[in-house]
This record gives sequence, structure tokens and C-alpha cells, in this order.
Amino acid sequence: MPKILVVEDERSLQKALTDALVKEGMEVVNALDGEIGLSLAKKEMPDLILLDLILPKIDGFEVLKQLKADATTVKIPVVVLTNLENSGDVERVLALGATNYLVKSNYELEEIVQKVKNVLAGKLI
Amino acid sequence: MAENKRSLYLILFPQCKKNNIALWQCPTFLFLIMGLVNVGAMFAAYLIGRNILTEDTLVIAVVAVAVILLIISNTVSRSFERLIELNRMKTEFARIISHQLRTPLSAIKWSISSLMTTGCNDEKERLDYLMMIRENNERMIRLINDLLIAARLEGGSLQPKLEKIPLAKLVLQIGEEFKKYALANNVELTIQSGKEDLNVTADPEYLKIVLRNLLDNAIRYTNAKGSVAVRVFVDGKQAVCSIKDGGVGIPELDKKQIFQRFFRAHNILRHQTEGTGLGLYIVKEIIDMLGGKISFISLEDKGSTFYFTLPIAK
Repeated sequence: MPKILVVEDERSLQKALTDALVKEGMEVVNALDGEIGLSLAKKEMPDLILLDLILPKIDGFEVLKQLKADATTVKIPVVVLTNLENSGDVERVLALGATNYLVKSNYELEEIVQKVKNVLAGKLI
Repeated sequence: MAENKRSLYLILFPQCKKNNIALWQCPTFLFLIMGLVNVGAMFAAYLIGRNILTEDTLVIAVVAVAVILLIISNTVSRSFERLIELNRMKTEFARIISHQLRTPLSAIKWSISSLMTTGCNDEKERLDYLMMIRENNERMIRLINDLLIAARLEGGSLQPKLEKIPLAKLVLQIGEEFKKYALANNVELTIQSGKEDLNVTADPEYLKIVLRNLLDNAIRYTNAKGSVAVRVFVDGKQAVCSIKDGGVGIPELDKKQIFQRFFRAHNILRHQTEGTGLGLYIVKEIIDMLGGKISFISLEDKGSTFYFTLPIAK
């Protein structure tokens, strides 16, 4: 069963994502802020991380940077899931090593789940 | 040649390049030009003057030119500060609003998706999603209301309906509204509403907005087991309302900008991601409009006390 870490501070979005992924037969671990996200990533070693950018404690950019700087977590694919849609942010995130960047409000829940499956299957997105 | 020019631009003015500001609009570049013009003008004044004037007069003339140039440069610099500030607000506005509106919209979108999938038969789950839709809908309405109020305050198109209002009654009413919120956040809320016969001249609806925004901030930015205390008292001819919290406080560097539109202090983004930076702007504009004054004292990590005054109505 693939394990997904969802780092998202909005409870409603957390819930919707978690329920949808669990229905697809995946195990989901939740983090409501950047600090918890980082420690859970190291502890749980998920198969994929869905990462929001605007987070309390440590923001998504910093979490991503630290994940990619750590030998234990560098290989975990990170898909950034955010509502920021500045082209500067997209470039910055991809430069930091994220697999992809998705703007939440532009995708249906089913589409996000499909993209998670694609990345897990080794496709880029 | 064009390539060399552009690289020079990048090295000398990285900030402007980073913000995609054209060279002729880049303040750093323009200051440089201004400096060169000043030096050139003084030099020219000297060269022209030394053939016409005596040495003493020449010195006075060059100094006079320098002073005039200084005054002009100062005026020009001030207008740049305003331009930079407007630019920041414009960028921040787009960034904050798009994020703050998109977030509840995504929550609603995904909640509806979840409700519509086959297999969502669990009554409790259905109710959870419906409540999420309602909460996020309310959140968007509040945000849009704030944006509209802020826009109207800025445009000066609000017509306050001034009345004689018993301040104590209003403060107690708003305090009552926030009891549940304070409890949910494990924050102790105490209200000393002062004398019942203390009246102020104000528009009740706008005053309620002020109290709501200040109380919301105080509770929101106070950690669990903290306290918020509201007090009403008289200082000469003014009624004063103070809201003291044991919250995260305002960093020294941010104090100057705290009442600006879309400004959020650097320490609170780490604390809470919801928030538009409009609350205090709206509070200040309303208090100013009602003829009062707003001020605060604050220490980072210790807390803040916001005070506003309103003229007492006889």
C-alpha cells in the first residue's frame, strides 16, 4: 500500500485529500504545519509527499529545501499543491527539486488523485 | 553591445531585475542618475561662476546650487518611496487575495467532489463535507466584505451615520459574540465595559467592525492558555477602549507598517496562514473617520495592547 504524506494546514483540504486517497487504497499521513511535515517525512519515509507552500511554523519552500538537502529524504518525490500561482514561485519550487507544481483550485480532486498515481508509477505527472 | 548593457544592469541593480522593473523606472538607477546630475550641476556652476564671480561669491553660489539640488532630490526621493510602497501593496494584494480566495474555493470544490462520488453514503461524512462548504462559504463572504469596506474607506465614499451610543453596551455585545471563539482557542476573555452612562458619538455599525477586528486579532494571535482583556475608561474628554492580549506581539521593524493595507507582520505568518492584512487598516481608517485616535504598545512574544479613543457625547 503506497504511503502518502499530506502537508496541508487547511483542515477541509486535508480531509478531502485524505478521504480521496484512502478510498484509492493508499495510506495517508497528515501534517498541519511545516515543522511536523519535516519530522514526519523523516520518520514515515512516505512514497510521495503532497506539499502546500503557505504553512505555519516552517513554510513549504523551506520544507522542500530541507527535504532535498537530507540524504534520507532526497529521493522522495514531492508534488507541490498550492494556491499560489506566481510564475516566480513555480520556478523557485521546481529549482528546489519538486517533481511538479499544481494549483489546487484548478484541479478536481479526482485529477489530483490520478496525478498522485502517475507519479507513484514513475511518470513525471 | 546590448548583451553587455543588460549584464551591467543585472549586476548593478539586482533588486529591480528581480521585481521585473524596467531600467528607466528603477529607483536605484534613477538615484544614480540624480547623483550624477547633482555633481555635474555643481561642477558646471563652478566652471561658469569662476569666470564671472569673485572667489567668495563663487563659493556661496556653488553652495546655494548644492542646497537647491539637495531639496529637489529629497522631494524626488520621497515620491519614489510612495511608488515603491504602492508597488508592494499591489503585489501583496494579488498574492494574498488570490491565495485567500482560492483556498476556501478549493475546499468547496473538493467537498462537492467528495459528496458527489459514489460511495459517500456515510451520513456523518456527508454532514462533515456540507459543514465544510458552509464554513468556507462564510469565509469568502467575510473576505469580500473586508475588501469592499477597505476599498470604500480608501475611496472616502463611506457616509457614517453618527449617533450617541452607549459604549459599554456595544463592547459587551461584541464581547459576547467572541465568547465561543475565545473558548475554542483556550483564551480567557475578560471585559470591563466601564460606566453604563458613558456615551460616544459614532456610527454603531462601523464601531462594531472596529471592535470585532481588534478582538479577533487579539484572540487569534494569542496562544492557548493566554488571556485577552478589554477595558473601557475615560481620559479627559475622550472615551478610551483598550484591548490587551498576551499574544505574539508586533516586531519592532513592522510597527511602522502595521496599519497598512495587506500588511502582515513577519512573525504571524509562522503562527497563522489565514489573514489578509486588512483588519488593522480598516480599524484605523474607521477610527480616523469617526474623529478618534488609534495607537498601540507591543513587545514581540509578550503581547500587544491596542487603544482607541472616541469623543464623549454629552
